Amino acid sequence: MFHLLKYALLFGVITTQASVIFAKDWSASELGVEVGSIIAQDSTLTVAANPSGQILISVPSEDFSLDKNFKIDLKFAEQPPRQVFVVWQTHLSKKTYQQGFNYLGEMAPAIDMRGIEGWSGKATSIELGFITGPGQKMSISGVRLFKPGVLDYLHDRWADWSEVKTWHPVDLNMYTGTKWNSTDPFPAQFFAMTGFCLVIVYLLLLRRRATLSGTALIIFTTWLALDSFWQLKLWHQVTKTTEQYGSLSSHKKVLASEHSAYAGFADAALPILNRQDARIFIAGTNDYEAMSTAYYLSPKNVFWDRRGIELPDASHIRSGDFIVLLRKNSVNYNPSTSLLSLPGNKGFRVEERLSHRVGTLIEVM
Amino acid sequence: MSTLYLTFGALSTFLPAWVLVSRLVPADIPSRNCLLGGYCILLGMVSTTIIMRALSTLGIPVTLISVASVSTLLLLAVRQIPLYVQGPHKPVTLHQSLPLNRPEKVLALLCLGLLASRGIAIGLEVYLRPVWAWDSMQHWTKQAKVFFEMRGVVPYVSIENWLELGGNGVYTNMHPDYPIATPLLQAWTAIVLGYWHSSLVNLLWPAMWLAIGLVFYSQARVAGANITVALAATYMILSMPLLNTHAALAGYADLLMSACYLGAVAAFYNWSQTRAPWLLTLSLMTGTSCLLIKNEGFYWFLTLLPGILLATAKHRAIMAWLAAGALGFMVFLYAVYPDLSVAGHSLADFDIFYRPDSWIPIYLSTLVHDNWHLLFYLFLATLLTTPFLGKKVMPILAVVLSAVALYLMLYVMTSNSAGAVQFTSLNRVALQLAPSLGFFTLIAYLALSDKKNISEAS
Repeated sequence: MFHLLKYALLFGVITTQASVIFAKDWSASELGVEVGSIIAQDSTLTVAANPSGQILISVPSEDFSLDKNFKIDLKFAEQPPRQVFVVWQTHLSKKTYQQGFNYLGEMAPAIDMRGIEGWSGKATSIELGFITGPGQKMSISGVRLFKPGVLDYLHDRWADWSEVKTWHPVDLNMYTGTKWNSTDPFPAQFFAMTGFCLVIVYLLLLRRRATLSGTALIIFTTWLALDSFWQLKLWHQVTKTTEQYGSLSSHKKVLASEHSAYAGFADAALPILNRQDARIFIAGTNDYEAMSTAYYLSPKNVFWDRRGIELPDASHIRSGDFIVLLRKNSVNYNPSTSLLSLPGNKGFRVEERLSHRVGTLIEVM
Repeated sequence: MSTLYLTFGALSTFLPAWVLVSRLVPADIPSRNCLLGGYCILLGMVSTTIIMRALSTLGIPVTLISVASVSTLLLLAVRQIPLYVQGPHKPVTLHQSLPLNRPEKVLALLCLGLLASRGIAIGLEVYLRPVWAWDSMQHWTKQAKVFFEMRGVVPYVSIENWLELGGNGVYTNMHPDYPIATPLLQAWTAIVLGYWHSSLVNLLWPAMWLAIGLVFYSQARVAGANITVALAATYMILSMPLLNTHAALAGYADLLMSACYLGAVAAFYNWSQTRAPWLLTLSLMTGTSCLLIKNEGFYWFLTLLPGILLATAKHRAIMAWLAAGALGFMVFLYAVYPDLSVAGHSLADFDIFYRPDSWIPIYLSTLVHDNWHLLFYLFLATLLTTPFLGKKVMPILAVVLSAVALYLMLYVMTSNSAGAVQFTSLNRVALQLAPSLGFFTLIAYLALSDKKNISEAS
């Protein structure tokens, strides 16, 4: 019922709000640079970041009446920064607010200011901060501050529902049907309500002539419409997968994957670990690194205690054991003295057998 | 050469199961070949893992030849089973005798096209992508690599035991007590190929997806759905995003569990209507297979019992006493033996108390997010119609409600609630039940159709 009311309200809004209510556009030539150095400013503004990798640009100063529904569209001309900050100063309190957003390299991110603390009343200045590499260039072609209308809303929903993401490990746990997981309404809700409304209309129109198969057909069609988003995403993903792995051999596939570093480490380490009874301990504080390393070193006899101890007590370690010290680890190892200290002993003498960007392979002597 | 080996391996895996099921299933069953196909994939896979365990126990290396030899012996043995074990049963009400009209044919073709598209997408994804999924790399496939290397099952122990034993002759991972069917299937595929292939080891996952479709479709036909209705419902089940994801990003155990549980529930329903022994046999075989796949398979298998009781008990009083006795036994166990381990967990491990935080994730996962498309909306709507469905759906309703109650108990009352709050295991366990809930929803639709037809005729 709650969703029904929400959609009724939405359609009510459609009748009164056909298009954008407020919009303020700034071209690249109107933007000011507060932090960073200007390289070029014509149809695009190209700025080099300061030694800390920061850029701060400002829009022309005026009194802005902030609306909680405002959005800020940014248009980048080249590879955009990963992090964007909106910085604004309010009129009365003179307080400066700042809010960061991760857009993971989107060329035209739309920053949604709904629910952001301090985004209300009047503002005297609005600035945009960017985090990138030291001295790295960033090109922006325009900024737009606007209060979205229904068409914007529909466009955003479409973009959210149809946006394609590549596979992520969390996909095996959940699929929201949206790009931004917190966006409401979700497609399943929308199509469920649409189907429900269609069934009600069908029953009201046909009354005694309505059939169960007619109702089922409406439900099936609704399912089909909802599924079309997923079907397209799945095929898009297949295209991406084909680009990444098509025509590669088994081993080259692994080297072309996100795990290539770990597979490369295993390739280098396995000839060293050639004893039948070799025991390999994985020491690292990052689950992903440790899991990937343990997997590619398998079928060797690997010890990895996720969420437990990195390495066992000294009494369990013996000469001939191998230890993989991943980049992130909290093991007390001193390469200059070749000593590894564990609880319960003064230090094992070890020999470094492999140094790799994934980690270091040492053997207990 | 790989194709030849794969063909030989597939024959070793599926042929004995095909012969077994074809000896059980009468010839006049609608969509019989689909039924044989679905159950032969499931039983073939599970029985192959049993053969691998048996060979390892006897100290015989698991090779293509050794498994194929045992399969051949099994094939010869199952051929001795008398054809079509029949019992006193009534024929099911079938609608398929009515010819399909043009729109129905179009709809059926549309569903077939969509299913083909989905199947190709999943197949390509599995064929191209190397092992990638987190739990698969952390647990199942890592174990499979060891089984493949050792050409057999080797013992896995807890981390503490591994340290005590110095790792001599034993391996360790985070869940050494988990059933090993999944890694055995990957190891078997590698054994058939003769080498470890980073993506082809997952070849059986599209087969699991296919098995869900074949079992669902054929059992729907046995239950009385016409071709179009059965195909449309099958498309709906096979198109659910999380089910597709588990087939495409292969390596988890939940899809096989889902297929086997569906095989058990669907066959059980049709048995409850016909009392044909072959259906009960299929139900029990796939139901017991759940025990070999994941620990929770034990509980899913138990959910068949209320349905069997309801279908067989002649007096409600007896049934009530049996149910009360079972409940009392559970309470007794919890009170007296809290450390008693059942299916890998002791009751004390469960740390039972009410955890209301799990309700929101359950709501979001079933009714807001798109994990299952509209399945749970339809399932809930179906539950509202149960008073109008008549007695014949009561046995499957008892099974399905038991499963849902256990699922809710797991996340609302036990320490597994963390899996709900963090959205980790919540949907994976739901996947194990989802196709069966879909089958129940279809049965309810068929029951309502029957009632409407009867009332219109009278």
